[in-house]
Amino acid sequence: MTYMGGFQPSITDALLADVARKVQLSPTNYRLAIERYRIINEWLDREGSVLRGKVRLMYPQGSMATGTTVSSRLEHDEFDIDLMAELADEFRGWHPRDILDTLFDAINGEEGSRYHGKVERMTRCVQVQYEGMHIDVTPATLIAGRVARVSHICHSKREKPRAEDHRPVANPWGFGEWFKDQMPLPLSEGARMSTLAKASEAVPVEEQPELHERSLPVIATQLVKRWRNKKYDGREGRCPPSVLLSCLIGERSGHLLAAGKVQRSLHATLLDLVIYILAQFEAAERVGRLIHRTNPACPGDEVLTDRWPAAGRDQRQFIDDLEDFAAKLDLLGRDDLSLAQRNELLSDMFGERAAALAMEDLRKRLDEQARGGNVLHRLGTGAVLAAPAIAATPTAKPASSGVRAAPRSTSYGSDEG
Amino acid sequence: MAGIAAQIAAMRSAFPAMRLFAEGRWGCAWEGPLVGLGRPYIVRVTHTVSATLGRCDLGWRSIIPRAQVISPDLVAECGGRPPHVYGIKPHPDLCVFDPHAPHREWRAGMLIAESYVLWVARWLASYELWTVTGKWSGPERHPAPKDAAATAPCPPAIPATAASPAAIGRVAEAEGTEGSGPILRAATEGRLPSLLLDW
Repeated sequence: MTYMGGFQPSITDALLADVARKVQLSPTNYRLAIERYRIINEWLDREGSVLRGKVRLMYPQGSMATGTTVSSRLEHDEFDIDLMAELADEFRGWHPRDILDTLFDAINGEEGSRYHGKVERMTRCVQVQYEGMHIDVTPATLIAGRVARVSHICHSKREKPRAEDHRPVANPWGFGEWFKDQMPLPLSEGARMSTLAKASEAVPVEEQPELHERSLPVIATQLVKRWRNKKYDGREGRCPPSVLLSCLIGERSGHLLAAGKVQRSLHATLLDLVIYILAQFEAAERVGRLIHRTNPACPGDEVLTDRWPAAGRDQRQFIDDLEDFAAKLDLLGRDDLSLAQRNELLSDMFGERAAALAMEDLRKRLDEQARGGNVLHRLGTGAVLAAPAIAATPTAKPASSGVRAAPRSTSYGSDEG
Repeated sequence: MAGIAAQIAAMRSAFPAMRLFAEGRWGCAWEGPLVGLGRPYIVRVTHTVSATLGRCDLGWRSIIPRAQVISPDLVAECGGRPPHVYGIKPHPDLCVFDPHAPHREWRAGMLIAESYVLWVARWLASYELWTVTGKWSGPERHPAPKDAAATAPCPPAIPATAASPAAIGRVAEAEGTEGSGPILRAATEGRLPSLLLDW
């Protein structure tokens, strides 16, 4: 991570940033996701498509819109990419089941065509399967007279009677914009991801910002989601939805931003957010209720907690999980931990693979720095500066007065002797 | 060559927590906390500039600085011998530079605080990463057996005489060392002083 004004990240911050980098879409997969998004948009508009000329706009939602995509699997990469397909006004009167089935037919196409057999009709979306990735396309129609992009989406369980289908109100675009508005600017100057260019049909998504170009609560959101995925791996039932976690993180970040308080440490940011989330659940439990949140961009209609927690025991379990998370994060911040102890904690919180990849990244950076004679040390303690952005600095020029570059040296001596 | 006073001043400025605990015309030694990545280690750094100390020929020890990790016990911690050390009892010496490198990584004119101590810190970082990944970081060289023999510590010499208080006094005066009884006793007896093996 790059820190402005000569501020240098701790080893804890560097490792957390490495974990976040390892669990998010790689630049290659990010570009692949964007390309697939573009192709699906073109495919829906192909000659012969039942939706030709009827998709007014496609835009990313969820983690792609907020820049917080993480792998949903622990031991291999599997990413869920969410898109909205805003349909023409003529679909406003359609039954939700018919809309979903029509979208399914349009993407699945005829036998032998591009997506045929790789598409699944879900309750609220149509899912296209790829290796290591699936793209969920959610059909929606704009609600006339509402603020930007407030829409009806579709809810239709195939196994349930048609009469139970309904059209929930949602504004995922508004949520994404609200979330970004709550985030402080990154510590390094960098562009904030813009996800909607209203003039075009397929909204272009900008290049994925480098990790150091994101603000710390955004990176912390990725880590919270990864921890949630690890915690609920193998558990029955639903897990706390990403949109609820993002909402709570947005709330806290917005409060701090309004108060002019901006953290300069990823670890401190993450711990603060986890403690805030925990406090919100505890507050609900104290008054004998389940936590309740609505989309700040659609507060009257869109309940973010409509499917989870379903009961007090779901909430209690998550409170226990959050207490454990906060305690382990607190321990991770201690100065006297060995790297092996840090590795154990990171494995426990984010998975062995993510921790191992982060450790190997750190080792490779130090290896490259040492071979190039570019190792920087903190004066007073000698601590190696382990931040990626500093590793990428092309010269060994010290970043601040408290830092010194070491001359090149070779570790010598026999392993046996 | 950087004088002992210059070395001490540079260390005090860059690493004030490194405590100077022995000093004389023979050289000086510090002990204190150094960090590789996060955890502090207690490290002893010894710098000798004299070829002899009392009746003892310091040999290679007069040429290069030395560093030993006093705490934690690395051998116990990693269940064996870490890479790039020599001698393990009671504290291994860290091999932080190549004494045979063509471009001479360590030169007598260097300030320890600006070079050697930073190499020690990188060794500590590499050690920590090695305990987790099993791989060392940065350039490394494993000497051929002949090479190794040239740099391995010599066995302590057999004491020539017992150290009387007067003999110790004479060595202290000659070496400019007064604060270290164990060093002077060893040097007077012709043994390698414990500072140079271990305190």
